[in-house]
Amino acid sequence: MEHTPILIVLVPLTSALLIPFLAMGGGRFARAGLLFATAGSLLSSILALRASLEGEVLSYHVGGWPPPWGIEIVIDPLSGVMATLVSFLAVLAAFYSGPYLSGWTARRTGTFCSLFALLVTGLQGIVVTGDLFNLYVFLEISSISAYALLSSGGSKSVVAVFRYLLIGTVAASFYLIGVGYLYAMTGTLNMADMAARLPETSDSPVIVVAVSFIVIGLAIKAALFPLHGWLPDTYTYAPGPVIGFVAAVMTKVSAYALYRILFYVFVAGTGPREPLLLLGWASVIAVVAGSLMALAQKDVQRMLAYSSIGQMGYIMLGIAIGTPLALTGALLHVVNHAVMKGCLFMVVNGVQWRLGVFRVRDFAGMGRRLPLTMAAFTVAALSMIGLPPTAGFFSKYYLALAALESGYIPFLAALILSSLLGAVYFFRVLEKVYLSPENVEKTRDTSELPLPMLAPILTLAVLVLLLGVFNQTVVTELIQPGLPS
Amino acid sequence: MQQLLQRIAWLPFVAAAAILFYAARDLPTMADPNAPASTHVSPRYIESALEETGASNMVTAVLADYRAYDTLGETVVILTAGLACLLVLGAFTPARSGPTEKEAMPYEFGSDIVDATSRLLIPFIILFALYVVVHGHTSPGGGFQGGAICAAAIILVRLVRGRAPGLKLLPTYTVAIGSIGVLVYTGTGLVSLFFEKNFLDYSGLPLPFHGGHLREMGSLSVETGVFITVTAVMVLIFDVLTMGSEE
Repeated sequence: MEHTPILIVLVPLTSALLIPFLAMGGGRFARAGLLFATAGSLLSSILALRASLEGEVLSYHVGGWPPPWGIEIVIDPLSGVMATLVSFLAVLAAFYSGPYLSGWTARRTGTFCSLFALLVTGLQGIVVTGDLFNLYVFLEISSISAYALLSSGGSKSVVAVFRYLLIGTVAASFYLIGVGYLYAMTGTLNMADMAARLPETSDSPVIVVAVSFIVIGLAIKAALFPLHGWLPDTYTYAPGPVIGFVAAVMTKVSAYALYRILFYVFVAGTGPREPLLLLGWASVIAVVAGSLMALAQKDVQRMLAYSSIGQMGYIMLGIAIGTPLALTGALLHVVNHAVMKGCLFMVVNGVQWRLGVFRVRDFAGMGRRLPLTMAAFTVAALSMIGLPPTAGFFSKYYLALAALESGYIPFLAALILSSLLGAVYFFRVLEKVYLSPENVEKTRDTSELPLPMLAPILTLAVLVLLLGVFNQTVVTELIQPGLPS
Repeated sequence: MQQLLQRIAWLPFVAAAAILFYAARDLPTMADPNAPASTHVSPRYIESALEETGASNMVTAVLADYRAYDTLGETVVILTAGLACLLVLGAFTPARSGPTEKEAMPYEFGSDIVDATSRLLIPFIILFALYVVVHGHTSPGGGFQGGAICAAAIILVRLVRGRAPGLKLLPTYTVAIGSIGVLVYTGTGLVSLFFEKNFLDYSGLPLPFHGGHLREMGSLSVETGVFITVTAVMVLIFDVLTMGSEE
């Protein structure tokens, strides 16, 4: 029990190492290994979350060295919720990948599953760590495995991901330079220790530069407009099970890291508002620009990619306003957006996998062809637009209230405008799905998606509704304990 | 527009550099004994590393013991890079440039002279690699450096004699060997878990040593893991770059 914090990382890591051997027995074993990796991580995350919700912050000293000399793993309600979210979507994506991987050779399946488990390892490592440099190490693991997985969708995806690789590496360097400067000024890498030592030196320009570099680095990773250039192509050409997971959690984990550093290391909630406001204006542009670009797309997956840029803007906007209400909205939106965007990407990739189509006009009549899949798509799309009682309504509601309460009327206007634009671009698809006649040739197999794909999609769709209906419980039980005190 | 952007691409670069230089004026002077970096955490490393970890090389003490979890992550990064090469480059089938794994390519490059010289060198290179690993505790070196040197020896065999006469290490096996290396690392940590210590706390290892010596054995074990992984992944990357996949 006392070791659950490290098991969140260790179970997927050890599984990733064993998967190449399992793959020698056949691709099925590799897939089973991946399921074990993600399920084990989920179980440990839930156990750790439950312990942390009972009021004690779990601190695990790796190697037995106390911080700040050794590395500390911290499970508070915030990291517990994030770890559970990441591993839950990983389990669903692992199920979803089953039909996609059938027909691959055993070695290639093994490599894929191993990298997927390493991606989960990297993201969980970022979420649970209490050490700034350790965060960088796991940022690298998650990035490299994500580059490989995202580029496994054909030659177009390789070109798209190459750009992501270059930009992502620059982002990681920005983060590392920031951490280096902070270390020179404080002599420590432990987050809690640094938070205690920073006030002595906080007026130095070195700290300002360090914060700016860390924020820019993580904002690139989180695809905040105008640093989002890598995202649309990467998401458009990525293979299905990977993008279902990556789009759902990867940018959020970077946003989480940014939130963790801004509010737990620099204690931004108590400081001056002006620097944060800059982030807020960038987010406002992101929200509007993302929605406008999404409106212009003909390819559904590309539309979702631009919509993700807008949605990351919401989360950053909440962080930038920085009041407890806004942070509640931001964190709730991290959870909600992961669930609904995961669902949408899995649906669109399922359609592409089954029918080979991806344009908006190809979705004509899809409601009759794939009724269950399209019902899930509709629920998630309504949630993206923000209609009650779906989950998306409530996080937007908190953000809007926070903007109003703090007097940032332009922010509120951007939220409303973006929701209206969201309604336009999602109803454009829904209109095709339900009201247009079918136009896909009859020769293709047009039955419903296979169960391993359909089950995760429906689970997420139901979760969108549950998160909406029980949103009060979610906020008071899970989100609010995670706010900085 | 495109051209204009290309022409001013150096601007952000110069701006970032200027900001960094500007801020660097306020950084503590290099090697200042009163700087935070040398007064807060590092005194313990300097004063008690030998006693606590058994490593007289302080860098190794921090790398393989105090912050061994970071080094585990770095080793995993290396393995991940190898797997990434295999997934991305292994997909281009059949080989476009090189011969496949199954085709022998004897004496692709080289001659009897090159062959004889390399035979003379390779044992010494491998011996030196092992020396660098084992001596990482007292002198510069360690698993990463040793692994790179050892991989150089194996790649030299590949270059001089082609694949067939050398070690028949297909990518399938080099990936497995790389995984074994990280398994040695995590395994060392997991053993401590079973003896009711924290992960990577070497004082929980069931070995007939005490204090610093016991921890030194733990560090040596993880360094060996790093060595295996680095060697295998370097060879793996060389192989997937130079030849097509077996699929």
